[in-house]
Amino acid sequence: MIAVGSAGGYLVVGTLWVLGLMVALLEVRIPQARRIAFFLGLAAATAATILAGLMWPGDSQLVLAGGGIRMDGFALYIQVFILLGVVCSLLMGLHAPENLEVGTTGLLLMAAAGASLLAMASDLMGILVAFVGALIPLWTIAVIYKGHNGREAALKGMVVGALAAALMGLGAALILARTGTTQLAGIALYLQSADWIGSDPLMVVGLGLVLSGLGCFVAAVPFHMWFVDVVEGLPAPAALLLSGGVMAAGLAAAIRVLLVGFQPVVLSGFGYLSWTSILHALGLAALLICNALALVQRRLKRMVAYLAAGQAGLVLVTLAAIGDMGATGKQLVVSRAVGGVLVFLAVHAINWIGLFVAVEVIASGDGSDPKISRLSGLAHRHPWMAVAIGLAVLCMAGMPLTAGFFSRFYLLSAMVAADWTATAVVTALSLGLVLVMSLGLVATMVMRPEHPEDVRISPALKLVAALSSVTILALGILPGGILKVAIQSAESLVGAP
Amino acid sequence: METWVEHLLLIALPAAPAVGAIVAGCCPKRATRLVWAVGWFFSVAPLVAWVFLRAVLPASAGGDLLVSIHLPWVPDLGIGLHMGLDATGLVMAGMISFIALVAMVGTLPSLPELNRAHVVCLLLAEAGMLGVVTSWDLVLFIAFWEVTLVPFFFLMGRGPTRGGVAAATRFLVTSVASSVLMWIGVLILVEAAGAPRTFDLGELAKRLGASPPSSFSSAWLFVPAFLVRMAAVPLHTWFPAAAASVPTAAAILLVGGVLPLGGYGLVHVLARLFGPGLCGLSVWLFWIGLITALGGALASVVQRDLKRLLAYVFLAQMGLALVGLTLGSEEARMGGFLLLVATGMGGGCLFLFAGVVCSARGTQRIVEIGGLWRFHPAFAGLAFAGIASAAAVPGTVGFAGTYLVLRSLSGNIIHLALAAGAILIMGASVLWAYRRVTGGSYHSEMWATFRWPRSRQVAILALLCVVIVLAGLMPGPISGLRPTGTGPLVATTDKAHCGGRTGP
Repeated sequence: MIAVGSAGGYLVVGTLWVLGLMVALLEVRIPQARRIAFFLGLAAATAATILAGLMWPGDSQLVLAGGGIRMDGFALYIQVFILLGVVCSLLMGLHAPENLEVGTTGLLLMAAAGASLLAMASDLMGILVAFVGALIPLWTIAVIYKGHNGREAALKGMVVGALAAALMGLGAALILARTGTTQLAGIALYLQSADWIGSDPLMVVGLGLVLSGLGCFVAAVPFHMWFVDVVEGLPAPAALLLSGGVMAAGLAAAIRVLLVGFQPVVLSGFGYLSWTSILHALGLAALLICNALALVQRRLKRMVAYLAAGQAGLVLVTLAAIGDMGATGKQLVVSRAVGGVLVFLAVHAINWIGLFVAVEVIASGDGSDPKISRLSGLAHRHPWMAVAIGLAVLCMAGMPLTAGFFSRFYLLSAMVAADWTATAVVTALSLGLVLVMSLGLVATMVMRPEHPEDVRISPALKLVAALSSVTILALGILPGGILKVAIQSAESLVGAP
Repeated sequence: METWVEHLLLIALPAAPAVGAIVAGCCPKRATRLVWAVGWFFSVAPLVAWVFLRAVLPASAGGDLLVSIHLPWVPDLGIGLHMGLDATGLVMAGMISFIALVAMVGTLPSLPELNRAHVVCLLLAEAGMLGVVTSWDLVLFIAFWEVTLVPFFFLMGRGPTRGGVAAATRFLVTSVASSVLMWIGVLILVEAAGAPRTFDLGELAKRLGASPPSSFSSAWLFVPAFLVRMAAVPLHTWFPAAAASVPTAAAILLVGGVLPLGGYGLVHVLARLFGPGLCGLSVWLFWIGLITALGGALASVVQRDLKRLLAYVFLAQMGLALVGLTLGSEEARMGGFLLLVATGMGGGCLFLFAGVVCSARGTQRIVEIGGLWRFHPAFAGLAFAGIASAAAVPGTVGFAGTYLVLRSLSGNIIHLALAAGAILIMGASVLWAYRRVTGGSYHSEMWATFRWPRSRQVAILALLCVVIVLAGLMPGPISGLRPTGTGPLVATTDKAHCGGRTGP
């Protein structure tokens, strides 16, 4: 582990951001240098991934920007998987560069910088800035993308995003007014010494607004529509970054806000109004509604987007259970459960790479969302590609031998450990729904007659598919190592037992 | 004294077909003969491994593990790769590997689209089922339990009719919904068993025996998973539809593998964790079994479709097995277990027979098939072993199991009458069907499209016949029990489970 110290955090984010800007400018100014710009971006993302991996487990005492950024194991762990997703989405861009508008590579890098910042930010305002920093480049990609619904989607995203930013900013301001700080550690310190905050309207409204803002950003029901539309309006590489990496980073930020900043609220007995019950309801709604909506989709990108929103719901429910658990002081269980959630987020990021390989395989030239039926009979023409896609799809459904099995097992186990049996049963049944749907998808590839039009599969896409498949299988067969790392990362956040 | 040979043979049981599936999957698509050779080799391999294992293992009875391997898997959560076999597991493993071979033989050449993918799915299904039998860690058990669904879905769905897809979907939905509930049940039990966390079946059984879970709600979460696989009422609807419309090989595996495995899961997991009384659940399960037996028997009477009729008969037999497994007495459990074996062997035999006959005649309607006896007496005669076992004719394994179950029911005249009625009805309907199919006059034009049953099919039928009769005449050694019947079938501790609640 390299003791890069404070420079490391800036290095990861700053390199990506500045290089992103440079690459975008290079692409726009000199279109002939597009390939150079692209490989520059790829190299930067790869370097950042390796850097983040080498710096793990970081130093939880090390704070930057006056305490607004923490380079702890938690941040670095999330960053590694986000950045891995970025590398894969850039590689995926090689598959059909003609489908990507000039400037996309740079914007992708800038979004990745925002997502990395999101994983490290431990200040309400920092998180807000990071969210916006990650999303604005993605909206911009949607605007310039030739798909016919990109602009509309970007507009929706910006309106909801502005609303979310306003809500969260206002909430942070209210909390600042009461506690004198927007840093999570400071808020926690205030809450520990404060009495029951239920009688304090400033804190209650502030917390409510922060929760609403976070909900908008991570596409929790009922704020999920913008997310689905934006994913549909983006080219596959950028959609992958939004629904895989940025989603994982956003959920990580939610974990940090709630378990570090507002955990004492649960401890002080907020009763039925505590954030855990709100999150419980939000998460269950997302889980059930989004998974059910995914079931009826005919177009692949929309389906994957709904599934991602459903995954976010799953994490929110588990987070609520962990919050409840923390209230009863089961520290060993808390750090293990947070570790489980971290494994889930990593698997989500990897899994979505595989799913977007499927999107890219059947993507049409005009930028529209491909129909699921386009996958029919893929196993006859391209059996290995079908195996890779099938693995990703089954992983999403939590099939044993894939990484998805254990990652879901950990979440359910956290719910049961918190004595939320009924919730666990509902969650498990909704996972069953996803499993049935995913086998349907596999059946489309295997049992349906071949689609008349063949698909083009480039070496770059094969590489990405192989990367995701191997990781999915490796984490599914040997799940012990990543869990150890994840638990250690979680301990840097919620403290060792 | 366990040696590395035993460990190797134990691992080979699920690993050989899994490796076979990978090898077959890597074969070129057009190399059909090569794929078939691989399929044959790797479906015989587990059977050979089992025979060696049976030879080297001590013939001890009871619930002790005869051979086991324990490797850490996710040590932070107490999940291990714990594989093992006890006396019942050994029997079940032998049966599954044999039935998988029958399914390989039962793959009819009349379905040209059943090629590489079919072989891969057959081998994967076998690997999954053998994994279920050998796993002694609950996470491993669930993993194998769920993973088996995928090959089954494709085996069932790749049939010549769309009905297969519908049946496969129904099976899939009920199976998935029930097995995710089992996840939760397992997690609740593990929490209840206290620190350090473990998912090890033996360890959990020991701990729960010492401090039994207070409520039986967690036991309920396990039940649907097993009832779906056993095709017990009211979760049985997938089975008759599936048996009637899926390819022959899949039907053989369903009846000979999936159904008995449901019952085995009940013995292996539920009875071990919750004690022989199943936390007061056994009363419910007993009645579910009795209703299944009666309902299946009655439904079989009105069937016009040969495969559907057979499906209902075996459904009834599974119901009786469930009755036996939940009755509580040693003798009844032995009977229930023998009925599981009877369903496996008889089901394999009869669905192979029905598959060949129906595909030859091009119809499944019983009244349209006839004269088989004159046409091919050996084939028809050998299939009688399966019929006799289903009808509980003395000298077959079906009789041995049925007799033991009925004898333990003799305390209650109503239970006895209901069960005996079910047996009589199912016997009558299966014998009627057999008479219609084999008897009657022989019209050459009716069998014009009849391809002779392959010699390997006749041979495997003869082998099944021998097993059915041998197991019926000498049930003790086959089921791994002492002839005196004193060895406990289910490993349980002496301490009272669930506050001493027991079965009916």
